[in-house]
Amino acid sequence: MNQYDVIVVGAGNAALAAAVSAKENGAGRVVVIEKAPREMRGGNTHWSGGVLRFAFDDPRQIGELLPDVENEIENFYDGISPYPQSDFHGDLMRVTSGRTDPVLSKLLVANSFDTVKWMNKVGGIKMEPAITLSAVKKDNVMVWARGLVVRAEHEGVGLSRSWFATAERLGIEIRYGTAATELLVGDDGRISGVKVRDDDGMSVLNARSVVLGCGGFEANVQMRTQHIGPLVGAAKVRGTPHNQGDGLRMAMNVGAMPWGQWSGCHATPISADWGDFAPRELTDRSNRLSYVYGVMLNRKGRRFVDEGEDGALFTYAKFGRAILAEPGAKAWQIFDSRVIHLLEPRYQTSKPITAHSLDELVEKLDFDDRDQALKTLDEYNACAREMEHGFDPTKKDGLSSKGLALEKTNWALKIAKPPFYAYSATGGITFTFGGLKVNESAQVIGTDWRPIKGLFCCGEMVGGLFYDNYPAGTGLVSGATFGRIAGRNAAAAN
Amino acid sequence: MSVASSKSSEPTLLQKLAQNVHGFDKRQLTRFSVAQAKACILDAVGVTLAGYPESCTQILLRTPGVATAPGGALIFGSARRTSALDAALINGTASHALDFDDFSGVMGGHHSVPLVSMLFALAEERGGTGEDLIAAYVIGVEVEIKLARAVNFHHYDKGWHPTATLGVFGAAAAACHLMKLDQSRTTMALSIAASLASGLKANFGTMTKPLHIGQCSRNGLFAALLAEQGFDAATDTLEHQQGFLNVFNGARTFDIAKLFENWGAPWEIEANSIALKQFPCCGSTHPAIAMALKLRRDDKVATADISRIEVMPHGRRLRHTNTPHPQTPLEAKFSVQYVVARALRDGVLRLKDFEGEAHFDPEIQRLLDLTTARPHPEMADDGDEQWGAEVIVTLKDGTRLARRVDNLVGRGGDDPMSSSELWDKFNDCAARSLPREQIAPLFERLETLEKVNEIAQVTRLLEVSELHKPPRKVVFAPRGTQESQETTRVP
Repeated sequence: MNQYDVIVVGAGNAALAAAVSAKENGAGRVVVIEKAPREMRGGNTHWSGGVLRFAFDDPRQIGELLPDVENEIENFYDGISPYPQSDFHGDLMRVTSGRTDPVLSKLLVANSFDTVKWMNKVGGIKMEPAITLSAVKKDNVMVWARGLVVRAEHEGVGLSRSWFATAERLGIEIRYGTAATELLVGDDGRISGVKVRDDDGMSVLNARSVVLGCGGFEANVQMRTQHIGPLVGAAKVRGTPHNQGDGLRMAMNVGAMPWGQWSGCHATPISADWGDFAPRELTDRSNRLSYVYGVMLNRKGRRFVDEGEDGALFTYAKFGRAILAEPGAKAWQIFDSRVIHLLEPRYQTSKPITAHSLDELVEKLDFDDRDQALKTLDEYNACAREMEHGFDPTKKDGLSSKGLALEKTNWALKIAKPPFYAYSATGGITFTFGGLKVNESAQVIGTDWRPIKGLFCCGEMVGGLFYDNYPAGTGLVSGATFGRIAGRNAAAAN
Repeated sequence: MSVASSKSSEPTLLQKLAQNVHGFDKRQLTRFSVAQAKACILDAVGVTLAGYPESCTQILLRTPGVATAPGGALIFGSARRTSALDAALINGTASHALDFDDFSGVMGGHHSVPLVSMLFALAEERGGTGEDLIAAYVIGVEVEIKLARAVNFHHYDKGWHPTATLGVFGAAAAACHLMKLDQSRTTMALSIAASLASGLKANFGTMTKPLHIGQCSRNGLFAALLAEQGFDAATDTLEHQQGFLNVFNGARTFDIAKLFENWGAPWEIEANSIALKQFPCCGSTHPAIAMALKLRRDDKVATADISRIEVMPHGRRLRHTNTPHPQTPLEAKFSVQYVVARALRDGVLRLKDFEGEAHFDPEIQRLLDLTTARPHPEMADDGDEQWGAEVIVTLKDGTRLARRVDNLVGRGGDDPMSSSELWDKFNDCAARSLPREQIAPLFERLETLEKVNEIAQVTRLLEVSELHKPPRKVVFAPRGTQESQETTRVP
């Protein structure tokens, strides 16, 4: 007799959605195996912004998720454009260059709104309007971002706590500090349980079904280097140090088929002030994406990209990798006091190095060639422009440093007004795109193209949705959608 | 001198106390004591953040010479750092500004606020783990409350403010423990603290009440810092004819045996008499609020259906809270009618319900017109249980629903605040000072404080960057008037 009906490996958004869904669909004994200790629980969800992208035809439908919103925001519904399923799917197709899995992506889009409503009702996750994701136009007028109106209250940390609270309330057992090391297969070819390691040593947990929801391999330097390359191998990790690819390896050891872009990941410029892993308490606030308003210099004192080529949303991915390719995988972002108020609030998580002249600033920074750094800044300032020439942070302003060998094509304002500020930057990895092949039931498919009985997966481990990039707010909705499906089918398999 | 001479004779009370403080090891912490300590510390940090914008804190901060000393200790809710001494003074005052912090019935006062902000300041300046901080806190609480057992309630009734006059000993003990001072220096620190004890109940209801807390926190730390440097003091300062017990209490009004009775068995922090305040208003209204919330949650009472509300607190609880139509936020805090109406309407009580003109809300006014309050006829004025209340709601269809509790003194013991209740209060409090994105991660760190390797991991979340801009009021463009937008936010 099995100890459990369903074992869920992992404890982030996708895994806990699976556990709650399994319970909701009749599985009596559900256990969540969390490798991290209590104080590090919750996977990458803790680090996320909690944003939920979903399709809707009428903005008033959102009211179900945000009961008080009309009291908080005047004329709330009048500002929101419908985001039909075709638009959501179009966005997925566009950012992945048409490579997103046609079946899974349609499933994701079609279920997106229902998933979020389910997270709210069954998952007990409170929602709030995602104001900070909106674009600021002139003055205080903002425009809602398409499809991104709602997020979990208190972002990823709030989302994670709500999932744990619901899981506990439903009587789901949560085992912290318990690492799954191996999937067990019976003679009938069906998954029969997992081998785990905890403080007491090795043991075996049996169940009819296992759901893997334990993330990608972003924290595993060997796998990063092997699959994505040495540059990203050297990246710092923005999220949990526990996503080491364990689930992927365990599944492939029992015949699961790798799927999706194993050479791909989401990576951005982040602060270089911390160690290999960004501090947990700073959540997703490690990003350093306001380089468009300043310049970036490498350790040799030279610029290496056109910082103003386009908005940060369109350049961050390649600039993160570009910094990793520079000596020491490090750059300094330099701003003057006229633009400092434009920096993303996330810059508050580190203290800038400040000075009253550029000479003094360069002296304080760890350039290998300080003369070159000063020369680079002087050359830039010789070609850069003034405020009154049309600097406009709300759009691509065309203000260019024409004549400079490496031109800055927008927002090329002189770095002239003291005090001056420098923030460190390096490349940070968010999550990996390589995963496993799953079918519409979230059942894992083997390399023989047949489903592996009793094995399901969800979250970052689902391969084939994202290539090169992903639309913000899709990861959590995908996690909960496939988690919910996996949990339901894992319960039904009993 | 005094230290040397006492070696030959029976140890003094302070020497024995110092031995207990010095001899305490974090391995003696029980799982329950750690859980209790974490809840109290977390709650104290929250109310400190709520107290930062209050006048008493802000006046203190602009007083010449205050918080100008250099140092690495953060003033919670700001970007300002100063000496641990000054941070203890400022944060200690802020922590009691709203009188929203936890309390001990035995102490007749508040056990956490003399300790928590001082310990954060010291641990931040000198380095220390979360577990070290918890251990120092537990021993500080033990000293305060054991001392209270020896001197109360004569001490309290006489007019001393025990949070301050006993808290200063707890603060000194906790600081000594965190600084790992030896027994003789700990004795000196406790003796210096005795001479710095102060706080008069005559100043209750004024800014000087929270100042007592800042001052006792600072003085406790000051005593420990002096002792560390070799400052001396007498060793018999408690039992001396002109010492703390005889001067502050008076002969035959204290029982020194109780000072060491059941030391650490269990720890005072584990006692049933430790309680948290769930609601930001007079504690005497809390039993009635709890019943109103039950009516709303368990009996599904909707305010639209109500035709009559009867509030019947214990007589002693009603006398100073019988305010049928409060006219100011302060009166609202002392209006059992108002808080019951709020609880029935909103299912929650928040700080903003006692700000501005919240008490004039039309729906609340309508409910107040349906409300009557009278002392509960079955709750004896001099009975053992003086913290009861019954709330009866009559619906328009004639249904009468009643909820009653016989004794509810804060939330603790068998009825502790749940994790989500702690979070609701913390979030409400912290939002007064912190950027929203720091609140949930801070709560999470404090929830697992015993695993924090360095306190700076916590204090960085208590700091408000100079770059921080409070959110502006924004207006959203009607759809169609602007090009539809991608988000500019990168995950």
